[in-house]
Amino acid sequence: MTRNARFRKKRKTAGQKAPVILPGPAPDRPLSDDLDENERLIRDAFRHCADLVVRRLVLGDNTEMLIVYLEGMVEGKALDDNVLKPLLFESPQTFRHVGDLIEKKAVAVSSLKTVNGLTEFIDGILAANAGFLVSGVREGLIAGLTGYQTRSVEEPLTEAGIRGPRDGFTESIRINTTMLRRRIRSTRLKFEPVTFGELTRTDCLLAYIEGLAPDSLLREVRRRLGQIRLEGVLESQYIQEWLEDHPLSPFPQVQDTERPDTVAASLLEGKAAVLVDNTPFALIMPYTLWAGLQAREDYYDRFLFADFLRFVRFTFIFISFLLPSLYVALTTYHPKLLPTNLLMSIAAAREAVPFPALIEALLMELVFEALREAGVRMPRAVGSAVNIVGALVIGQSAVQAGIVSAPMVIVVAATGIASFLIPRQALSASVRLIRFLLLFLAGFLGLYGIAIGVIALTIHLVNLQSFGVPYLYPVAPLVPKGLKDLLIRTPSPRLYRLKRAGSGTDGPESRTPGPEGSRQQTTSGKDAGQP
Amino acid sequence: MSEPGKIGTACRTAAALLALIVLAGCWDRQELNDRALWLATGIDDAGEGNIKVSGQIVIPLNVQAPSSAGSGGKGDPYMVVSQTGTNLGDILQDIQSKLPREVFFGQRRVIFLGEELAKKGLSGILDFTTRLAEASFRTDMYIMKGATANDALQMRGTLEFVSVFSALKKHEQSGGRGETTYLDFLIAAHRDGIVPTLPAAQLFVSDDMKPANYFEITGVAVLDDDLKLAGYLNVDEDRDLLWLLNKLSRIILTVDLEGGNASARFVNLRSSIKPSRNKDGSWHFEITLRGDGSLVENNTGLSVEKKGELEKLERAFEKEAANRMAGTIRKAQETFGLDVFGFGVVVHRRHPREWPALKDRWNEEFRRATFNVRADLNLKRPGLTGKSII
Repeated sequence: MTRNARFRKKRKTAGQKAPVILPGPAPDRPLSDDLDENERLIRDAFRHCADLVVRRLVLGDNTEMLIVYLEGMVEGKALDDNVLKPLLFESPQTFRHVGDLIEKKAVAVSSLKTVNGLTEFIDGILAANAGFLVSGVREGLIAGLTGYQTRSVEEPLTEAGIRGPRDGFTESIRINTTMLRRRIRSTRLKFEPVTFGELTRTDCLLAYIEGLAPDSLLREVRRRLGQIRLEGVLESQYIQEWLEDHPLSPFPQVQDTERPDTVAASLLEGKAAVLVDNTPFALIMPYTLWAGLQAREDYYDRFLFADFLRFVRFTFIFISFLLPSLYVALTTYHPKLLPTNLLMSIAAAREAVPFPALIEALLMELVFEALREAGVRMPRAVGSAVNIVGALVIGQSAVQAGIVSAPMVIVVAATGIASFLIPRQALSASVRLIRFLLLFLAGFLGLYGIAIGVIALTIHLVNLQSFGVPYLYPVAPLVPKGLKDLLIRTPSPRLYRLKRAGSGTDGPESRTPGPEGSRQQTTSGKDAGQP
Repeated sequence: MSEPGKIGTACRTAAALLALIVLAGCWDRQELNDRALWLATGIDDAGEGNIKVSGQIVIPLNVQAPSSAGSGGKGDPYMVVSQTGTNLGDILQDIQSKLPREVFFGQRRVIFLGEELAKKGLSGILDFTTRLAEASFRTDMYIMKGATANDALQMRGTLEFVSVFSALKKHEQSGGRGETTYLDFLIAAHRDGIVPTLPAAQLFVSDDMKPANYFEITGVAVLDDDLKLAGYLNVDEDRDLLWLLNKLSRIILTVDLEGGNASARFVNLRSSIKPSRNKDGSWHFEITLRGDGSLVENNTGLSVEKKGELEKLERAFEKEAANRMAGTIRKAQETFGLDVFGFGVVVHRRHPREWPALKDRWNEEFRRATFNVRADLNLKRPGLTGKSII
């Protein structure tokens, strides 16, 4: 584990200049029976918080009641209808116990919790609940009247698809769990709560299916989750880096997705998922390269067409990371290998280009990456301007002016399209990075450099693991039966039988990490790691 | 695992990889703009022991008119440079000094040899072309009958936009050796029991084809053991030779039969040679020619729908093929006395113990040898009609 610990530097919250000195975990002081005292303590804790609402009600002779909530976090109408109206319009009542509030039908809310401690009470309010305190009672009541605005369920922009469910995760973890629960109506679907961020207190859930996800995997995930020390978690990437076996690798070892169906499918394969509040991106682990190359449509389309698409995708992945470097190597080092006619055309097109092929390729690749990044960042309103500049100025004018050659534009365009064929954005990003590395190797060493680069890449990939599962499983180590869902997708009934036999690519048992996350390889797919 | 050990391993690995990069070389980086693509070589005899080397080089600016290239003058997409000197290495240096770009031989596709040079022998010029690492063995090769190699490089008005490609494509299209010519030639030149042959071509000026001159393969040049030109076989004899060498891909045979004539196109051509000894100690070879044909034309009145008549046609084609082949072999025996077919190679393979004694006098043995040619041809595709409809 030393290897991982070395990389696990403490991550600062985005945008923060200096680390905030956190107050140590204060011992929870009990609530007082004096309402004034309680109010003073709460107001003190929430000082300078303009969104705090403290409402004092007189409920009869000596009974007073305090309603505390954060403005906008609580649904006002429900508070009025279910709490205030019954309290104010019923005859005066006395409460000796917060339970009385419910028994005497003063608070008509389904989600209720009684708390004793001040911190616990404040936490409840921070978590978008309304808090009730009654004079002379040492307990508080937290009522779930959550009413903040959430985005509605929409189709994810990052993972578009033709066939299949259109819903995507939202920023609200509660809505997200319903999407999973609706898909897997089983008590075996578990959501274990974890909270991260000493300041942000972000809710996270470890989701898995009991009996499908191997215990060793869950132990390891829990252990790594337990190691996380963060001040703030604003996105699942924050914890993703803590979860990965090799954070310095360009390849992601945890899958992220916005799609509830993707998460559900992974859970059914015996993987575990971590849902993080305030982000639609869920994390799935373990992850293999092949999982990154499979799109959900592989399973939603008819298998022949899905296999065809998979073939196209695999082909274009090679184009995506090899084409520019091959072009540079072949034209500058090995023009002998090209057919004469093609070489003559390329030579003709390159005739007026002032740059060496390597510089030309780097220039165009960088411009393409810049255009792509601009496309993400630009305001929608100026989108067409960027497109015009990109297509006309860089594509056409640069060729006409003789700054770059037309074949290079074709190579870069083909590479760009190819990189979009990788279904997972994170993996696509790794491939784009590696493309530049190979480009340099090709520019300085020709095909020999490409060979060195590819060998180094292979060595790296073979050594990668994700939660104990080799990154190239089931190709390296080779598990022949696992290949049935790798390059081609076997028709569903057959695949089902294979998975039941416990030897499918994504079969749950096959993903078993070694005990306590040791780096043992699961060489035999079926029962490795199982006691 | 201890940290220092790991770092040490990493350092050692990195050092090894670095050495791999530096030691393996591959530093011959050259931009396309700095290379002169040399497509064809022509070598002529220049008298007084000198040779003249010509080369056809691509002018990329004239290859196409891509908008990027600006306003390139629309001339020929190639130019011819030539230089006289004592040997190729010497000449290439002079040629290089005439050109602003480094000559690149990797795309050399054709070598033309002048007839005069061939008569004096080719052994002097082969070393350089084979020693050059970047030059490809995938090269077509011609001996220009009655012309110089320089003339061949200058030819224009062919269908191909770079004229030497017409030579290459014509060769492939004729069912001959094509790109393996150079390699076959080198193998034959270094082997016992066969003398090398090279395709022979001529340049014509004629009204048959309108452009100024055109290029036609007119047979095969036979070289003797010293790689000197011994003579030529014509196109038909060239086909027979290639058939026997198992290099011919297609042939059209025409026979006269029953007052008419018929033609068939044969593919899947193959041959087998079986050597044996005659009573007088000379060699005898049983040659079997095989092929599958499709009937192209039938003016004989025979109906190919009837088995007996179809077989009659087949017999006629077989007889024609066998007679042709026998005639070609006889010509090689009597005119040149050189084993261009590689019968010696067959003997060497079948009787390896006897070969060392035969090696040096094989051409005499070849002259004494007897042959029996048998053809086994099948007409598999009689065409759309049965008996000729007219």
